[in-house]
Amino acid sequence: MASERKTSGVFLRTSSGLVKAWSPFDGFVYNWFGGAFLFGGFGLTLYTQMLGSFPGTNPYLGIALAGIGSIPMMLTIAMLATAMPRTGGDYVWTSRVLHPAIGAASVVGGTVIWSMCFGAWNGYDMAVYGFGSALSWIGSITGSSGLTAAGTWALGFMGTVIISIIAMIIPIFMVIFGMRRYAWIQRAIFAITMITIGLMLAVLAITSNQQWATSFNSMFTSPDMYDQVVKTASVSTTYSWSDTITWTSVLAPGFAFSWYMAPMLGEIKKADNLKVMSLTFLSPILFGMILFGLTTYLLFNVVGQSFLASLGALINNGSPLLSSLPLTLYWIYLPMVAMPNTALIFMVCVMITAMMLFYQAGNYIGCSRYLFSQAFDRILPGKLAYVHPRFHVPLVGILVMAVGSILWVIWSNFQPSVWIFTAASLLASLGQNLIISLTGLLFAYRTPGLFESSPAGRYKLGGVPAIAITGILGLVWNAILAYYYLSIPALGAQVPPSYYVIIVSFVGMFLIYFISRAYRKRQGIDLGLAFREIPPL
Amino acid sequence: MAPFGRKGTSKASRLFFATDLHGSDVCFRKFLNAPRYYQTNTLILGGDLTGKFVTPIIKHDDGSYELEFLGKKTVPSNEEELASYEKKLANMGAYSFRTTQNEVEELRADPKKVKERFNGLMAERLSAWVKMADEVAKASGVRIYMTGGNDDEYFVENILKNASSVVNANEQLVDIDGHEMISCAYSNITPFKCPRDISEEELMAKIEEMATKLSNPLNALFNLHVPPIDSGLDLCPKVDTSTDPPKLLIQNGNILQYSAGSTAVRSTIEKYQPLVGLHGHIHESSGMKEIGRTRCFNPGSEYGEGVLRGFIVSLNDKKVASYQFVSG
Repeated sequence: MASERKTSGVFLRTSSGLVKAWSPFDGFVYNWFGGAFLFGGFGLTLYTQMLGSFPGTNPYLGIALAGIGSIPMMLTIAMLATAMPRTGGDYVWTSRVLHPAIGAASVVGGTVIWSMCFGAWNGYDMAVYGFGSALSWIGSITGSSGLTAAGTWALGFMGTVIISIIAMIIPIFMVIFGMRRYAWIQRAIFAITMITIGLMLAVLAITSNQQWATSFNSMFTSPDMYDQVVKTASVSTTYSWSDTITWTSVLAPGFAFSWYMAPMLGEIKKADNLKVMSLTFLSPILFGMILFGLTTYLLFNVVGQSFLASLGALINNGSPLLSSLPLTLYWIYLPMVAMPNTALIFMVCVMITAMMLFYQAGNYIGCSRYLFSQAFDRILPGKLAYVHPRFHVPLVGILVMAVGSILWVIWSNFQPSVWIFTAASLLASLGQNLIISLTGLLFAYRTPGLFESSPAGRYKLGGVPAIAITGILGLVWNAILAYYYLSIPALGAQVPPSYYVIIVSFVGMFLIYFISRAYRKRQGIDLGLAFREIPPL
Repeated sequence: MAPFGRKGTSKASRLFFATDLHGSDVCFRKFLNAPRYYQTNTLILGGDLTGKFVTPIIKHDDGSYELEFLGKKTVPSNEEELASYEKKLANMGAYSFRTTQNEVEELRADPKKVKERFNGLMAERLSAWVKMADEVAKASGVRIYMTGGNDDEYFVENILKNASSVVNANEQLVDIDGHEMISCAYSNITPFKCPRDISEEELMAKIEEMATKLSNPLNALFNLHVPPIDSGLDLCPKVDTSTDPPKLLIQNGNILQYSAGSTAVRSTIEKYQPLVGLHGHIHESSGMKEIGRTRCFNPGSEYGEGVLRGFIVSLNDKKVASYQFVSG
């Protein structure tokens, strides 16, 4: 049976058939959450603190720069995706176009290792930003000592550890029963998130700055706490290019996560359609830019830029000024200051929980596909290519990621100093983006046959393949970002122990390929054959 | 229960298996280069050799040509560019022919003529393939086995039978370095009413007829186009057969999937427990699955992209020494 091709200018035989499985909408949602990483993972939790660190930023300019700068790489990825719509995504492209060792090193060093670590962030966010903050506040509003105690427990050490481990376990069950079932869960999470964010923005839209400041002051015995926060923090929000570019550098890798679904391309319908893929990869960026811009606009109007930056600075400094509050006022709870509705606060808690479960499920889905495709190529042990016969998911890969994530949760909570090893993790993801862009740049020249038969082969500018142009633009953009990460201490990447982890993970996987190749050779398997295009007779 | 086998008498063999090329010229030429590239001494090409669509290249009165390429109307600027499009189409598995608008209208009005044109183009390309393969086999001593698939018209058998060196393995029992191989081009019933869709009972009878002739089933290769049911090598979307062409069944925004493999193939594999099962048919479900002691392979197919997918399998006396998935 064969793939269906429906066009008006050709004659088709009556029999045709197979297509891919997940709908492009599900792919978009998956990418959107990935792209919304900056909104959910970073924006959701760190927005206020970021403003506190970079008070002179022009967020709108930063959002525009980060979004527009990410476009060439997304186009490169869309073109590579349609040329090789395979499970393993960028691993497959890079291993075929550049070198298998580079492909393996790129995905393991750029994503797999860090995904295990990010699980602990997801658990922490769920415990602290979700349950701890929401239950403490609801307990305070309703006078329920039980809820207050539950919130305090969630904010405490054991609460965070237990919630984090649960946050690692639940997503296993979200993803192991097949992608069709998972699509349903994902849609529910999408709906919950959109409704909650919509309500939060609606509250901001109907609240004035005066109302908000009055409500904020009423939470304290001091009637001018709003002014005191600004005065105590004493930060300047005068425009600063340096702050803006730093802010942009934080946002941009978040936007780049709009290619979140690439590792599971083999399971997505119309993954060989360039128009669909371009929309699937680009629209989350546009959506993220609009939503993040709108949120910023409303927050600045209602809460005030100076106040937000000051609040962030106080949180960053651990100031005791706001310690009488039942929760740390992360921006996600600011809309409810003017309307302390327990249902809405609870919805925010549910949203954070759902999003963190989504992120962790995404870690399992994407990385298990990376492991699967490398095992399929015989680089990694064959067990990692095991697909459950009923649910059709790479079960062993999922469990490996889950065990790694749980171990990291335990280690990082009992030994917080190990977090230093992850300080430059975004730099690692930039390394992966650089490699993907390089793959795009060289695609037409290294694998001309594949390029010509792919949808990308149709697009040339002055004889130069469009993918080479987007590839080089992506390369330049990611190189600029990497430069900033290496030169701006505030971005947190200038931490030698973390460099070493990046080097070890990239170089280590690079070497593992050659070790595996030597081992397989003894079994009569030449790994190199799996990646080379066989010349036609 | 698996029967007891004789002690093996086979030699080491390294074979390359690919399938579902659907007319892709470049994939076939890659396939023929596999012995030199992958160091294999045996080539096995599974079914579905013929392509699925024809692109008319319409000549206009002003001498220019127009065709549809990747869903887009294209007007080549010169003969060289036109030839390159013809080559690209052939590499993607499509057939093309130069024609006029009038002839295209005639064809549109007469499905019988379309079928005749299809068959002519399919026969022409397959004959050229067989000729090329014969030359390779003669020159290199490599054994080449080919079979049709459920999507191939019956005339394919005649073309393969006329080969001088290439072996038409369909419904035959052949020996590969001491490993017997049986082959079956047929499939269980598909929603697409393919030429060689037959009932599970008929399929079972055909496989059984060959399998009972095996002297050592445990050491045999089962080259059966359709994969065993519920093997993970047979997962594909479910379609509504009440429409023509069949439509994908979507429930709550999701495409329903099901195992399209054959119960007959599964039960014969479970019964005879051959060394290897070589399958195709379902392009997206590539992989290796063990059913008892039998290793079943489906390399999948990306013929449309000009990518040849296949498996290199090294066989020792009584076991699979190694296997490797390759694509390129």
